[in-house]
Amino acid sequence: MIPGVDQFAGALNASAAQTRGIGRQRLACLPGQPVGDRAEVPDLHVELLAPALGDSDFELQLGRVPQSEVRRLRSFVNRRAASESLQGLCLLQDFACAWAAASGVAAATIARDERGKPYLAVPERNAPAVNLSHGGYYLALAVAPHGRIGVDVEPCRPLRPALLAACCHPRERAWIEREEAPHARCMRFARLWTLKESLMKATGAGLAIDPLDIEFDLDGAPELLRSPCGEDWQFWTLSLDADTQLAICHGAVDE
Amino acid sequence: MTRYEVFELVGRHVSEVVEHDGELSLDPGKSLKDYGATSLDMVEIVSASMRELKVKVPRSELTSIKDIGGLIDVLHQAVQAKE
Repeated sequence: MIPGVDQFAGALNASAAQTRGIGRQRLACLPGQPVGDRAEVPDLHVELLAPALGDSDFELQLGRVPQSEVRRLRSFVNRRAASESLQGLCLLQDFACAWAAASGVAAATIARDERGKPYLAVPERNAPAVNLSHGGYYLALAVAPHGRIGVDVEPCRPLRPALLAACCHPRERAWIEREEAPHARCMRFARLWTLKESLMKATGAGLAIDPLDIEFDLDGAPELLRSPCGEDWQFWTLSLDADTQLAICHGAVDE
Repeated sequence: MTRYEVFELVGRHVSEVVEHDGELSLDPGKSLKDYGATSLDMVEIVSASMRELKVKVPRSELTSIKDIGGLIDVLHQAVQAKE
């Protein structure tokens, strides 16, 4: 067992969001302080995704993101996926502008690392760690002043044998299958997967890490039992609604 | 099994996993992300395809794949090696 892995479950908290938000309607935040004495709580922005943008709105919003992102977004075949990705980048752009203004820097721009993970580039200064996710009806941006951060949103989905075999250890699978109701099983899987993917995203390696190389004990608060990327990670989970899970992973070590 | 048959099999799994309107026509030069696949969708598509083909491709080979054509190539090579 790895110590210091904390877990929160929180209801949607719009009022707290509005007081800490960035001028947009935020639906959820991580409540309270973490269990233990060493963590800073990442800032979480959750918004409702708009339906797929029409052509004129899509083109209008494209003007807000860097040209490299425009090329990437235009390569999408699935217009809804392009629209959701664009909304995420606009949320990140808004955060970057607000952070730059509050921090007294000229600009913070969106860039991507060699594996495609977005980050904020700020000349001659450390920028906050950021990560985006969208899933179901939601768009999420997690921010931490230091270290590495990953966030994942996952709606409930049908569980097929190949998926369980590719993602879950026997111990994790047994935990999922102890639930008798199909929907509850799907939600357990979503909780497990969001934890794993938040870690894979925080490391920057993504799917280069085999999900089976990460193992959680979820009988109580989630405990990271095994991972190929070190042990100094903290986790938060949140149920956004009856069908959607969110998890955040934060590591204290800078990239 | 031919490369085209592997392409059709992968296309069927993509169609089952990824939301789409109407008939899905895969372009081998595009990535699964271009079709709206999430990371979990990709895991599901690749694992379901490997399971049906009864092959196992090392993760190191999978992570270097850039597009759907590359995925078809590594799966087809694994099938040929098995045969």
